[in-house]
Amino acid sequence: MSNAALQLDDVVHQRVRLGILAVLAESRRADFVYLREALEVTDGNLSRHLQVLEAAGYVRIEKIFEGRRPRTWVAATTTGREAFESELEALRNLIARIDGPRAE
Amino acid sequence: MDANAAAKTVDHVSAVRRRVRRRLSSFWFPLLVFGGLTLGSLVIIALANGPALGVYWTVAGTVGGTATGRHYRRQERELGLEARQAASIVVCAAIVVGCLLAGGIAGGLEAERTAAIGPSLVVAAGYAIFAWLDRSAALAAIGALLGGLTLAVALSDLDATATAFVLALAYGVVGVVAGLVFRALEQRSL
Repeated sequence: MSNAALQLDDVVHQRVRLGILAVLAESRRADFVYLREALEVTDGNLSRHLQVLEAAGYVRIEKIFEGRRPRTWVAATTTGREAFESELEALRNLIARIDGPRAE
Repeated sequence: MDANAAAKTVDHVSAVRRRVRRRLSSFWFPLLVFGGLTLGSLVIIALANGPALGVYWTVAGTVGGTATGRHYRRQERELGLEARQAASIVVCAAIVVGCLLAGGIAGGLEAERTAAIGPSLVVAAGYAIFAWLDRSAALAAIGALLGGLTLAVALSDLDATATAFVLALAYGVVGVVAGLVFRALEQRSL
């Protein structure tokens, strides 16, 4: 069965990107360092996944200076939050569809 | 994708969300500050009560609220993670307005015991709402404990001043003790 048939969003479905959106679903915004440590990924890996999410319009990235220290804040857009919730719903439906007949 | 992979993904997402909630759920500071301020109000209750208590809480509430806001802002900057605070701010404002209304209306009607019991129930309900917002069993337990205690005091035959004193003492001690316990637990988990 393809991801399209399961209504899974390929942009969101990837494990790290789903993790990023999970962090942002529970917060207003998170900085790059927090995301890197929470998701246990490298700088380069996280940057690539953030670029994919930003290109899809799912996150907003803000680079600022706090004093002399550069800081990158990431926040989910409304579209990103909706995509994340839809993905979770699709996954739960998939589990129910397969587990349902087995449980009967 | 099969059901096992989907279940693992959902579990992974739930674990990430739980970790974020735990990092953002830092209750010790407001518990300690407002517990301390509640114990401070015992002096006013013993010496003056009435409108003086309203003035005390207007000033103390502003100071405590400002200090709590600054504490959370500093913590979020250090952590690199900012909470969505709109709901918490609305609940805090509702608690303040609810307490002032309950105390003010009952005081105006010269129902002095109700003036002590009403705001206490509002605060206990506030704990319950925060428990729901943060999915915290500990806060729910504190809210239930204080709500039960308030009802027990309401059913007793204590006079108005004793009612206010006992409730302020209980809410203050519970707030300070819970704040210290939460702080110790948080520091241990870091």
